[in-house]
Amino acid sequence: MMSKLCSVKETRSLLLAGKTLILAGEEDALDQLPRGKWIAGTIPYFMTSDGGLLTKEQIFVTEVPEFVINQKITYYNETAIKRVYEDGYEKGFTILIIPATSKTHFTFALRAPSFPEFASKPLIGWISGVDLADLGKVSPKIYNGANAQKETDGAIGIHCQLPPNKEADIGIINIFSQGAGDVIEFPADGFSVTDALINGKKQDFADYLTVNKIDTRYPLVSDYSGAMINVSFQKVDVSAHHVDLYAPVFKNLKYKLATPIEDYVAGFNSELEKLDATDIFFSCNCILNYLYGKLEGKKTKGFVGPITFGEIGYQLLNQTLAYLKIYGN
Amino acid sequence: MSSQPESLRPLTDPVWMQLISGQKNVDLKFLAAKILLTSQKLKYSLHPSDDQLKKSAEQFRDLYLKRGHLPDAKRDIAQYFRREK
Repeated sequence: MMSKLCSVKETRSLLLAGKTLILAGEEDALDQLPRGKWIAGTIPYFMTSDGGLLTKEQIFVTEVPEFVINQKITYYNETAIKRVYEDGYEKGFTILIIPATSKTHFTFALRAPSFPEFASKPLIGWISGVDLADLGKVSPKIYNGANAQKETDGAIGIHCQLPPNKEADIGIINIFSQGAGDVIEFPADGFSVTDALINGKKQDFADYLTVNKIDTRYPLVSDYSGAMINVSFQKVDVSAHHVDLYAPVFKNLKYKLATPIEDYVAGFNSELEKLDATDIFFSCNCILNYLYGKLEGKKTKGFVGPITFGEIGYQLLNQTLAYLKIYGN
Repeated sequence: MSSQPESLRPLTDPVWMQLISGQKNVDLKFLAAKILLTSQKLKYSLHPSDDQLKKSAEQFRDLYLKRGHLPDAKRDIAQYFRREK
């Protein structure tokens, strides 16, 4: 299974040879590709075998293996995205890319657990983004290679069917865990918060974070039956009594602030040591981990792929490394 | 104890609804199950009715009908019914 950075020329050659590719790269690079069997999202940050890297010239290429029996590329708009789980093959996997801050991004994040057949088949993916220097100036994009069209909204997915001797499964690596502090709940689902229930008592959440000098590089963490799922902080505006988040919080879920991490790279590598990376077909890691963990130039053992504005492991994730394994004879 | 997992019990087995209602808590291994169980428990907490409980239990059990052969899923299934042996 091939996953690596390639030049535009190398990527073109693979497409012209009839390969089916899942791509990540800068818009200028992706714009140079011919029509073919590919999907892509924009991002210039990558985990590579040589370490974290920002490049605007190269494209991260994941080649769909020859053993895949069938594949279908589907574009979903904000309404159709609810079909994404049921559209997957009964035995297979789906890779999905959604542009950051698009309507579909928010719809998927908030509503995916209510979509038909949610979590019933392996669905992994990522939220496309831009160079952080271009935030607010350039829109994240997704591409459907079949018509070489790029979009700033919707989602592009590739559903792949596996042969009987292969299995696919998703895992996540989250170096954060719930701290021992307050239990935090929210009165409504959403990416923006005004009030929160802190140990059952209503408080202005921006005030709470500020007064308690909370380091918002570390996320809120909820315990999903043993899986630690993060919600990362985007902005705390005390004067507006507003906290913006990179993923939604959900009413009736209990959150805690994460235990601070002293050494990101050591934290990741400690978790990665426990895993066999040989069967990894696809992985992605969060831009916040890249930034806060200063991962540029640093290696995350055996795990390569795009650094993203959000990860998808059945549902939207934050500050998490998500991976898909394909194994079997 | 045998390392073989239990075969999947029918929806009428009380364990499925106990998992959704929180009466039964187990240490899950299968990521899809962790995420699906939490979302179904959340749905039930927001709409606590017998109908929702049954729907949520059915959807959760369906995950194991489709993917119960995976190693982590097998381990979960064994856990659900371990104490009733």
